Amino acid sequence: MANQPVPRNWSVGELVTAAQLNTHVRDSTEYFLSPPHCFVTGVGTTNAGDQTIPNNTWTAVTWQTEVVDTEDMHSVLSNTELVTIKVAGCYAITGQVTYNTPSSADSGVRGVSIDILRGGSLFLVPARTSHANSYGWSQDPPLAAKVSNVSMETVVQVATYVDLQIGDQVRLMTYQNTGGNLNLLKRGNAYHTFMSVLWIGAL
Amino acid sequence: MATAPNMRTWNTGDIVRASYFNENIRDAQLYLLNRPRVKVYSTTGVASGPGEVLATWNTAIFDTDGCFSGSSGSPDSKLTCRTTGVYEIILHIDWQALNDSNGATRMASIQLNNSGGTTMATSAELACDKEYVHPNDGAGIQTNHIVIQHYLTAGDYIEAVVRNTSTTSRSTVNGTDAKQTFFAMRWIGAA
Repeated sequence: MANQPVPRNWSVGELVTAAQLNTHVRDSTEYFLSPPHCFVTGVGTTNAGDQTIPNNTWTAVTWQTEVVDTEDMHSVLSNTELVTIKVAGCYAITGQVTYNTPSSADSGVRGVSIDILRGGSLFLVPARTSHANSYGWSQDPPLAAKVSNVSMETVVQVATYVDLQIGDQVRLMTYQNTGGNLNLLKRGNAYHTFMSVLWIGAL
Repeated sequence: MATAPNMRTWNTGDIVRASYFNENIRDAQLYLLNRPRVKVYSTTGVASGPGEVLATWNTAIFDTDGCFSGSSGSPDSKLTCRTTGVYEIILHIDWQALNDSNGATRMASIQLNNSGGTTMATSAELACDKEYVHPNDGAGIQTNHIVIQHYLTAGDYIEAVVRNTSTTSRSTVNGTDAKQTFFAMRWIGAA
């Protein structure tokens, strides 16, 4: 596990040792070059399929691929929806879901939300976002007419900065109410659906 | 005001001093540990309806560089840059949900050095988001969300303008814990 740097106060007359330089220059620089960061994608229970989100139910997105995981914050074996904080700090959290094209035009919405768990219980919902559905509009309502038979993928993104403690857990929740199941997209190496948890500063 | 590190070029023959190490190593690390960042919200919603309104904030969740001067008794609209650099800015507006059968829009805009102006789409606008309100919002979520990066000089300030086109007034949602409507920026690099 990375140790957050504790900058040394250098004193007049002290002998500078290799150990000090390694700890307070090399290791600190390496920390800033590679701060705690977990970037997960590959939604679903296996790497082969998309994740199905049921109608009208907030559902945790599960992750099967760790693009970056500097602190072993995520497991692909258990609790795959969770990212666990190993170094306290302020974190930039970004999440995105991409819903597959529905079988027909619908008037449902798509939502995404960041959950913070502390002690295993929901502690904070620092941001949530909704997005237009696949039922297109020809121009600004109320003058617009709904465009029939418009179906497309829908992308919803959310981002925030949050102070987190060691042991806090982050998960991405999503919602849709199109009337039936709808899949989140996973397509090759493209990050259509992902979550990033990046250390950006000390508490 | 924080001071971004100005890295020393070490020369052959330099006598390495504790003051050099403190200035060029310790202080640089302290800066990187605590780069300028601010996140604010309001304990009371900002009502818009219909029309454009300047968003004000009264509580800082964190503010490492004195960017925000508002308080519960004196809300303020501005986040002021104290340390020049490139900033990532997030504006997140969570609206009171409304199933508007006529359809409507919700807009949010980030303004630069605009003295409280509320007109969108002028040269002071850095970015804008527009979302449609749909008549089947079972999730009860209607939001605007903007993330941008922009170079700011010390003294520059940013503000947020929001717009609701439903005939019914709507407020921004500010849960006491959730803080779902917020305005934030963080220094991400020197110019």
